Amino acid sequence: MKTDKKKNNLVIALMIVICLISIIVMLWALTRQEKNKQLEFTPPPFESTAVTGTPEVPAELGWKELDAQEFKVSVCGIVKIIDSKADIWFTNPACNTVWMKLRAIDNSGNILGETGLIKPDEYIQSIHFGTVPDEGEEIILKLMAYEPETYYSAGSATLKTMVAGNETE
Amino acid sequence: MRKTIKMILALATVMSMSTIAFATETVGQNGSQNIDVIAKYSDTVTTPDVYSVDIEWEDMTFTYSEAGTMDWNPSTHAYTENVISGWDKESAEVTVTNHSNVAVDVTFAHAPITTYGVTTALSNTDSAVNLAAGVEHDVAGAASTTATLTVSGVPNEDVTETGIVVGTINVKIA
Amino acid sequence: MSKNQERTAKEKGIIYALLLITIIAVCVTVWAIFFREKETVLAPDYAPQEEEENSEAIPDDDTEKMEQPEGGGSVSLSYSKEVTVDLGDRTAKLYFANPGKSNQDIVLQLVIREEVIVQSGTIKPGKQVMNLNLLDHKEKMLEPGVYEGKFAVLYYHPETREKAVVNTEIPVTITVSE
Repeated sequence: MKTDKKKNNLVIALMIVICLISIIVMLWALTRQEKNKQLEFTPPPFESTAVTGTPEVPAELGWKELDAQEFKVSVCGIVKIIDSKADIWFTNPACNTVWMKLRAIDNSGNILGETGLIKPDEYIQSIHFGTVPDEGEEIILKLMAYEPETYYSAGSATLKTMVAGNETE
Repeated sequence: MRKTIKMILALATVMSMSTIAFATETVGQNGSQNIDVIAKYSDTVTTPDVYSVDIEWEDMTFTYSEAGTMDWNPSTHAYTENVISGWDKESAEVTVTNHSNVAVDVTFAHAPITTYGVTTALSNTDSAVNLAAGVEHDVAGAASTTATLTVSGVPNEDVTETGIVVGTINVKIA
Repeated sequence: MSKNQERTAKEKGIIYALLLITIIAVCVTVWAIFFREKETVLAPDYAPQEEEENSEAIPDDDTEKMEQPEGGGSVSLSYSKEVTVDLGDRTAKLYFANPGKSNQDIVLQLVIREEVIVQSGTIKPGKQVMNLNLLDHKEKMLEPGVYEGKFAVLYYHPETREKAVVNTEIPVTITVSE
């Protein structure tokens, strides 16, 4: 009888210890925050559809040159999406010394689509949207400049605009 | 050995007597002499110039938007505009605060954008602003100056609801 | 039920309860470690700039971070306007600090006649530099003497590594010696 009592007490004591340890480990697991792992930088690819020169752009697309002082860039402010692509005539003029790419983002910061890199005196006709925004939705066109060879940031500029059309052919 | 020691002691005594003989003044019996005690203050503490400034800038993205309807009036075959339009904000600031122990001159520079029918302008670019040196024990009262970038105008009909590229703002501190 | 039986039942109850709590704790732990939704980490857009090898911690720097407007930036700079360049060592002796209260990384350039003769690596908040190396072959464009030049201070977001809209220029006096 006494032995049974001692045995039970021992089991209870052991269970209490194990229970406490498991609770402490659980609290640690719930409250720990994984340090943001810094993924390695991978140089963005160059745009395969880039064309040398300056494009001739339809007037109704609102294609204009913007001067960000560190660099100049031309892009259409009117975005009409047809079959997940929009003609934005993104141009990196010859006077620039930077490489550029364009990224379309929604208001929550999600990437909708982006181009590859283009060098000075090159342009891209259209951007492909991986996630297609709705007509009337506000999107941000982020123009990102890179120092050649090093891929260090050379600055950026943002344009907010609205999707003027969304069609499927 | 003893003789040597005695000679050395005698010599030392003679030498000390001759030292007394070279005193500049002799104070006679019951006389007194005033001796000036001079204390000097040597100030070689330097206060090197310490330059320290804070620079803060707001988000420099501006959005022009139009929302509403263009209502067709069948009787007049014309649209009635029922549109609210405007900038989400019309200004953004850059502030420089001087925490140095010397005054500094601050100059702002920015190339105005005249794209899409819109004008951007930065205030405080005409001449340098002199910020006074920091005052001891008064951090909160440090001199500061602010340049405000303003956006005005309406984007032309080629593009509506377009944000404006600001470019770079240069802050020169002399 | 005798007292012993009662006690035994009570003890069994305690053991089962402890066992149940332990099992629940283990299940929650496993979920938290392996199945909890993790924050998506995006690859960086820009290449990292190397931290300046000559930078060192600012002593007694325990100030609170400055407030940073959303989408904007805030920095604090401490510097001396006297720079000494030693052509023999190919070094520039200067003082430039990015106090811990700053919210931006800094890259410092020393410019003479629009030519960058010194460019630092990244100077992170809480760090200062007192020696920087001249860029390759820049000593050839300088003779002993006194020059008027400037610090060009570039700011980068510490996480996205994106260059900021604002930059700063500070006129300095540069004494060049052999």
